[in-house]
Amino acid sequence: MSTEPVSPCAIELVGVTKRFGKQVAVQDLTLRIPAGRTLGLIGPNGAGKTTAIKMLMGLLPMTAGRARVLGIDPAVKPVLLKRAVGYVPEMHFIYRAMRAAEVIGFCRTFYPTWNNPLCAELAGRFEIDLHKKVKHLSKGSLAKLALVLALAHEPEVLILDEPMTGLDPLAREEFLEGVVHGLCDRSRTVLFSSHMLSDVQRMADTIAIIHQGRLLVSCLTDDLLKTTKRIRAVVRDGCTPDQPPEGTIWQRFERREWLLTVRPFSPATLEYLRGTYPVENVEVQDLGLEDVFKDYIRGQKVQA
Amino acid sequence: MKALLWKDWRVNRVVLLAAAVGFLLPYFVGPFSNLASYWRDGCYVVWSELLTDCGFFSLAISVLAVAFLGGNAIAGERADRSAEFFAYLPVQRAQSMASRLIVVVGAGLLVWLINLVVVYWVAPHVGYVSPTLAQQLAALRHQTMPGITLTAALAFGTAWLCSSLLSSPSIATALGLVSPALLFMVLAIIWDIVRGSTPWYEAEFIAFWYAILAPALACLCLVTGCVHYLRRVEP
Repeated sequence: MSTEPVSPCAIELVGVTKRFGKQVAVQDLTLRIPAGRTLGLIGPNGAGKTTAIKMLMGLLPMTAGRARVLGIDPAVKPVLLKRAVGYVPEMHFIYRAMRAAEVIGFCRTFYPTWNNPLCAELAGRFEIDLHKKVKHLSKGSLAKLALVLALAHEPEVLILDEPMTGLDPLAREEFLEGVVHGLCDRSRTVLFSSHMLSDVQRMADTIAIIHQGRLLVSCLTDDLLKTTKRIRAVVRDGCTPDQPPEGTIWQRFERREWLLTVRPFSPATLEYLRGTYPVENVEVQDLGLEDVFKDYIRGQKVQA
Repeated sequence: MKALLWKDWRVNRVVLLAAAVGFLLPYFVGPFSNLASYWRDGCYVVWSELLTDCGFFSLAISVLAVAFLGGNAIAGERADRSAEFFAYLPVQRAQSMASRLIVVVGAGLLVWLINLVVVYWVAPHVGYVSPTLAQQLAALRHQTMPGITLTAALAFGTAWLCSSLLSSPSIATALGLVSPALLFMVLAIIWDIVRGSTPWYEAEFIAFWYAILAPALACLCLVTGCVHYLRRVEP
């Protein structure tokens, strides 16, 4: 696990734990996002992503630990924090009986930094019918309206919690373009949680994988992909490898084929394999983010 | 604050409109039935008495209205989950609560005040009122008004508390409406237990303790509901 504090942290979770009765949703989570970075928070369903984000937003009290966004404690100054953060949740429960324009007019009053021209530009770009009632908007338009509300007050931090769940590919693309536009517009810190790994890979410069409330890895996306390799080794008949090399995330052994995902990979890993086991053939493969993610989760499941 | 008031008006619009209809209904039905009775049988209720009756009917209906308003005030947004959206906005809890209270209590008080003006000020001065009828109406006002007022206060207070605790406006409203009856039943049971040791008749005993306990419980519920809402982390 590596974190690179290159600049002051815009988002900081230190030893955060959340328990619901006996069930632990988030366990000792420490995550730091430097200002200007885009972090993709990925994990399977129930991993604790939304819980962590809600604690960060002050929408859920922590059992232990501390959280800061731009140095603001969400439990102490929730109003100040919400003014500085643009938040798009997974589900959009915007007042259904209001028209989109009314929702915008209502929200505008709470943000001193609200930018009307930007709001109009975003609404126009997303082709949101502002005269329609929220209950008549499509799921895609609703997500885009939520993004407009999150971006129009020009927040320093943008938190997106699986905002594209259930959107069709076109709506997803338009939504992503909106986020990218929002990012390009000014240097923002973004925490982006999603199941769509291709979207995460496209957006995020840093990746954090979370499983069962625990952080498995957090590092630069390029670094993660560069240092994580899949090794396919074929060993001689009768050999059963029992000591995987250091840094093995996941492994599978079937007949003579031994598959290993290792991070950090180095030539020493191959030397160890060749030196320890009667290896006939070894191949090293690059992995995409999806495979890396799957192997981290599979590895945890095997360990469990 | 203006935006919050507007939002609370929007959220409670249906209940507020229903309360307005309930408030006005007796004032439409009463005169119509009086005129119909006059055309059919040639007899009618004098306008002063009719207006007083309409005022009391309107007040009785407004007990339902305040329970609905109290029950919907907080739980209504939880039920459709718009409370989650509201929770993301940078709004002080105290401001949000004040706005809800202003809208629902304001609406209830407005209905109440108009009816009070009708019953106490307009009705006694409409048309000819014989001294006997004037006495009867004054007695009616004296006997009925405190009961309705206390019942409305208790229904609202309980509904408000339940609304701050629950996510179902219908359950909060139902509990608000049931609370005066429950208090009445409890007092009746207590009287049954202490009947031998008290010089009071049942009605006197219940009326006395109802007059003390209903406003006390209403205030307690209102304050507890407010404190719980301020401390609760939504949603």
